[in-house]
Amino acid sequence: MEGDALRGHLELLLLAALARAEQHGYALIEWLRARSDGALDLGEGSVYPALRRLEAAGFVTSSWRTEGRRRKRVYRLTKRGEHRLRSERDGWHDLVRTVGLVLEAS
Amino acid sequence: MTDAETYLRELRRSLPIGCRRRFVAEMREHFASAIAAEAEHGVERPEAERLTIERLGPAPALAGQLLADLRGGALGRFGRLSAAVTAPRLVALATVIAVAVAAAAGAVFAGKHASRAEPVPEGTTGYAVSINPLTGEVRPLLVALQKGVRSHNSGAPLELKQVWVVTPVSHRTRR
Repeated sequence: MEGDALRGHLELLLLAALARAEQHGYALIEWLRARSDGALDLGEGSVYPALRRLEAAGFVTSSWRTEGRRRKRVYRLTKRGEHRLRSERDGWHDLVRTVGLVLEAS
Repeated sequence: MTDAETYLRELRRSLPIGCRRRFVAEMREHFASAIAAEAEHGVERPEAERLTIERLGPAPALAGQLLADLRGGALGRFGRLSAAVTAPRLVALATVIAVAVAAAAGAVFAGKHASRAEPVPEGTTGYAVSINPLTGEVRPLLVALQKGVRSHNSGAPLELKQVWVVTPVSHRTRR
């Protein structure tokens, strides 16, 4: 599944990934790729701006963490982000169910 | 310079000053992680950098996404403000401030010299002349003025202390 098909769902995917554990950008990308058996071909450049949008909206927070000699910007979900994820997930399930009903009827 | 460094430099140039430090640092870390991950699969560093750049997309496009979010307000009011602070705009602002400070300093300098001038005595002629506020250079003007007054006023001498020094250029006569 390529970038265009994922547009609009990227933020939901990132929230879902962060619900599992706090992560830095590259780890998020790798986790999403592995979790989808490589089917999610994220435009990696779009992930970081999306993380900034989520942070500005108060759904995630971030801070620098030193690991060895490297500093990584680590993102974590906020309470507001958890609520957002729940509502987006419900919306997604409704959409899938509705589209499924139509497709099965045709 | 490696491909990754060139990419980060280009990214840095394309971003507004307010957000470039964090974003570039984060992308530098992305490169480090990606190169380390590729190395585990036996991929050499130059090839790993090339693959990472390919997946990230061109630096101006990446910066463009962030800029669009900043300008569109998706990153808050501060984000919109930081998008406006670009290097050329800062240089222009600094130039305006420098000129204003120089002009103010010149005016103070000129004022200081003007206050030292004595009032023009009754029955004599006084002239106000301008000075260069940046250099304070006044003597050539006084000399020229003195010559002019001599020829115009039947050779009556004009003492330097009778010259009022003000700015801008004006002309004053008292009899």
